[in-house]
Amino acid sequence: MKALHVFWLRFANTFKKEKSDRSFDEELEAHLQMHTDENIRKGMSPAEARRNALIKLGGIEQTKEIYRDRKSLPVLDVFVQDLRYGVRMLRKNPGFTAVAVLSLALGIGANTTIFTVINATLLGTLPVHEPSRLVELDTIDKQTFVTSARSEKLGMSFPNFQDYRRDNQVFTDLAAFQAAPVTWSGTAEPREVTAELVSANYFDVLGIRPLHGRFFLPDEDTKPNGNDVAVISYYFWANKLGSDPGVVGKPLIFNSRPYTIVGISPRGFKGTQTFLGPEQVWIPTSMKDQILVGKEKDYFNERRALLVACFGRLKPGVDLPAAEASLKTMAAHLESEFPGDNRGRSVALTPLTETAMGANEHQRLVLAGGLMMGIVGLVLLIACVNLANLLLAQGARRQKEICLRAALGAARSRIVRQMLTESMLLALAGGAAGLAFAYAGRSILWSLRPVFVQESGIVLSLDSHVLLFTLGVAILTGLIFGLVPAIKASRPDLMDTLKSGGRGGTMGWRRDPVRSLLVVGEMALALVALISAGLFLHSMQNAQKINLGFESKNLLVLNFNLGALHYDEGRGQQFFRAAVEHIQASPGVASASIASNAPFGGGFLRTVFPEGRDETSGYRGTLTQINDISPNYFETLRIPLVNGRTFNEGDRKETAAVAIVTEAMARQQWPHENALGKRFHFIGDAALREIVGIAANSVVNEVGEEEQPLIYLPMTQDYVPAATLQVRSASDPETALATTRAALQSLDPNLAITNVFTIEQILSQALWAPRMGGILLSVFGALALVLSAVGVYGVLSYSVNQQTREIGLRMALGAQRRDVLRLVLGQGLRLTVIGLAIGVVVALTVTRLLVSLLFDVRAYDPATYTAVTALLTAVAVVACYIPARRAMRTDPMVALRYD
Amino acid sequence: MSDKEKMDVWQGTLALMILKTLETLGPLHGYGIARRIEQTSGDLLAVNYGTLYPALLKLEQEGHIASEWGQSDNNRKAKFYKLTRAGRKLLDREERDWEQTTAILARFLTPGKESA
Repeated sequence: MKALHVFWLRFANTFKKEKSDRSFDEELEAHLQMHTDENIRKGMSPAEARRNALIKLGGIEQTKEIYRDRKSLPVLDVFVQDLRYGVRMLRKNPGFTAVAVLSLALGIGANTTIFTVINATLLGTLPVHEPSRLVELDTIDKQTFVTSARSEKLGMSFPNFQDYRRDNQVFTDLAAFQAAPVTWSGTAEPREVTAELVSANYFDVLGIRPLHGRFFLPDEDTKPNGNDVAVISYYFWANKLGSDPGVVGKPLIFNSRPYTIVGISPRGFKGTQTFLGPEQVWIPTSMKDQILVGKEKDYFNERRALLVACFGRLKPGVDLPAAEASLKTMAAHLESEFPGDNRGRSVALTPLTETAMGANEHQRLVLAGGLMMGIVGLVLLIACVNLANLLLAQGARRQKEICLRAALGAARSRIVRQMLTESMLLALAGGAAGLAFAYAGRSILWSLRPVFVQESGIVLSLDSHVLLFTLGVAILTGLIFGLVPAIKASRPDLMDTLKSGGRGGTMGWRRDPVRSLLVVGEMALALVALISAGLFLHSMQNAQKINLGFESKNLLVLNFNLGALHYDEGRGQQFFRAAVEHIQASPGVASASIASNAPFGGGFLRTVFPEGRDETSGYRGTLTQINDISPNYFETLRIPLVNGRTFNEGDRKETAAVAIVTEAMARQQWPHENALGKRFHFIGDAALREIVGIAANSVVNEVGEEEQPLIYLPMTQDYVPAATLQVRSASDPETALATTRAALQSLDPNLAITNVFTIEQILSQALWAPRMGGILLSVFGALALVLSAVGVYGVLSYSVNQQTREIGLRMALGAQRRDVLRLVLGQGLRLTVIGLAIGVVVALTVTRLLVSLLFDVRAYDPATYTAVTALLTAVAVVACYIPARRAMRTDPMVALRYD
Repeated sequence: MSDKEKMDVWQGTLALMILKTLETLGPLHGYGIARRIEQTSGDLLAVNYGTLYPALLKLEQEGHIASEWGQSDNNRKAKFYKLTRAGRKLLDREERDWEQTTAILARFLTPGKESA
């Protein structure tokens, strides 16, 4: 405490030095006076008395110096001095300062922008108790072949969850949830909201407290269809219910059934899944028959159906690997106990914070984030190299000043500190300006965000993390570009500099390794940045060129859920038929169809066994997506049928079970045969289905995916109550929307119509991230190119200027212009080639790590490597040629007289 | 012994001397303190008066003494230092420590009186 107090006093005194100096002068003067008086009284003459007093006091200036150092903080003092001096130097060179701050601002701004996105998406922590102790449990299946990409972690079945919950030794508790859309009625128009069926302990495992009311009681998920209670999120309460505190205890109608609102979750809690959005409702799992529809409802309690997500809180002292080992043992028991359902299956753990965008997506997102960060990092490094070079040149120009200071006794550390203070000033100014760029960049990115990001409740804010990041980057930057020039400048060859008057003599390349290194480094950095950016731009172009497999123009899709209105299958089938008839009869509509999933909507996964290879042989089947469709689906989407027939009204429950498969499916299961007429069955079904048609491949999950095996089933044989409607309009799809809505609502006014989009809208949303990535990579790539071109030019032209005398001498001795050109170009290009070679080696290593992000491009894509290398070589040639041309025009006499 | 070491010894004991002087004589200016220390020590400590002032400043910054401007005996404006409560406590402690240290040293330096 006392030390702090003293520090503070001294700190404060640093800024009122004059006053305190004057006060001490007076005190010393009084001392001298009193001593003189006494000496006079003792009989000395006034002059002698004063002299004696002065002698006894000792060196006055020395005393004052010690006193002053003790009074204030000398370190701070020096710093303030350096700061003032630095500001003055920077103001004296406005051109240099502007270039430096601008290039730093671009670099730091790019870094901050990307970090803002990463901060909001990947670094966001759950607002729950000790989120790092929460882990997700997923099933992994070693035997069943999975056709869709990136699905190693498959979720959990409800019965297995119950067993793990009851018998495990490593979790304080396990919770499960399953998201499902529900229809909320009671307002003017029925709306769809996101509900999560949760085990009653869901909130307890998360460790949060309700804002109002209560969360579920421990046994509130035990009475099938009897726990009609719900917790709503703060955002649902605030946005949809006007923050009315009276709602607790009142009912809300979900899927035509009243649920008593027992509590409201705290502000900031948006569930554990980013893309489910912040407006949510939680309902106990015992209500699953009321909330789920179709196969999800039927299979909820099936041990092999991996429908729920499951997470738990690790017991104190248990870490993730230990818990995983323990659960794998349990999984082995469950496998031998239920071989029919669990064979080949085990369990994998993932930190819950990494599952917010899907456990299987996390690694790819981290890699993508890392790539972006890496490229902007390279841009910033290039800017640093440029600045280091500028400062070196400046240092050379200031050598006289520095020598003078050194000659007057300034310590080397003092000079380094002075130079570093100037770099820091530049870096911080660049950081501040970079923050402004980042703010603008964030606003542009944010204004272009697609609907699904808007609805997710992600907030892209420049919060304290971002500000700290920027500050850290700025300081690091200042150190990187400031240290080498500062050290070099502080170690001038005193005699040499004073002799030659601060102007270079013969500065051969061998004598200037630092600057040569800068050229090499800059080339290498630029090459890595441009190759990474180039590969991904190439990859994104490929992804966008992909044939969707259906016609995307004038196609409208929407969702509705008959299960929410408790239709039985008979009424549902009737509704589907009537809806298609009504809508197709409407003006402006060319064709309409019903399907369980629209393109980009994926599909329910089921395990497929081709005839002749069933479970008894030990074969575990292939997990394949399915889509239940009405007969005119292919016509409406304009997906070509390659072979066989489409479904028709003749395909009914009573007739033979049929299916249509995609070419990819046919190739996968019957590689060298004609799949038409082949038969297969789903796990749990005895009946065989015959393949009656083969359809062309089309997009199932996402743009750029590999061709997906997919099975189409007739809706008439495999009813799904939550369906999508596709409408092909003759012209503008917006006009068809009104008639479609009217037709559906005339069939049932309580139906909530949701997710109404044209396929083009969905496509542009799906392509938002790659397009944004492409734009950003182009911008950053261009930035890297321009900065490195400017930098290389700067270094080379500076060196040529330094060599003017040598060149003049050579020409006076008879060298031709051609020789001079060759000399200068040769020097520049030698460094360029070294830099590029190093860059290629680094790029080959780095891009290999990113190969999983590349679509249809190899990591060592020769076209990209060649193009980038050629581009940078051209830049280097131009950067060498301009100063070389100037050098060869040098008049030998002028050059020699230059000094 | 180098200059620096001599200075350190002086600094360490100087603070104690200053505090003791102020305790004995009450509020006093820098010159008075210097004279008193010189007189008390006989001319053993013939050091520049100037070195006193940084020590005074340090004690003041630490809150052991306080200062204010006043009039000296012969009507000169001077800065007077006085002990604070913290200073008194420090003095007590330092005095005890010092006595202990000298007592211990005395035993070492006076052979024969060593207890077995």
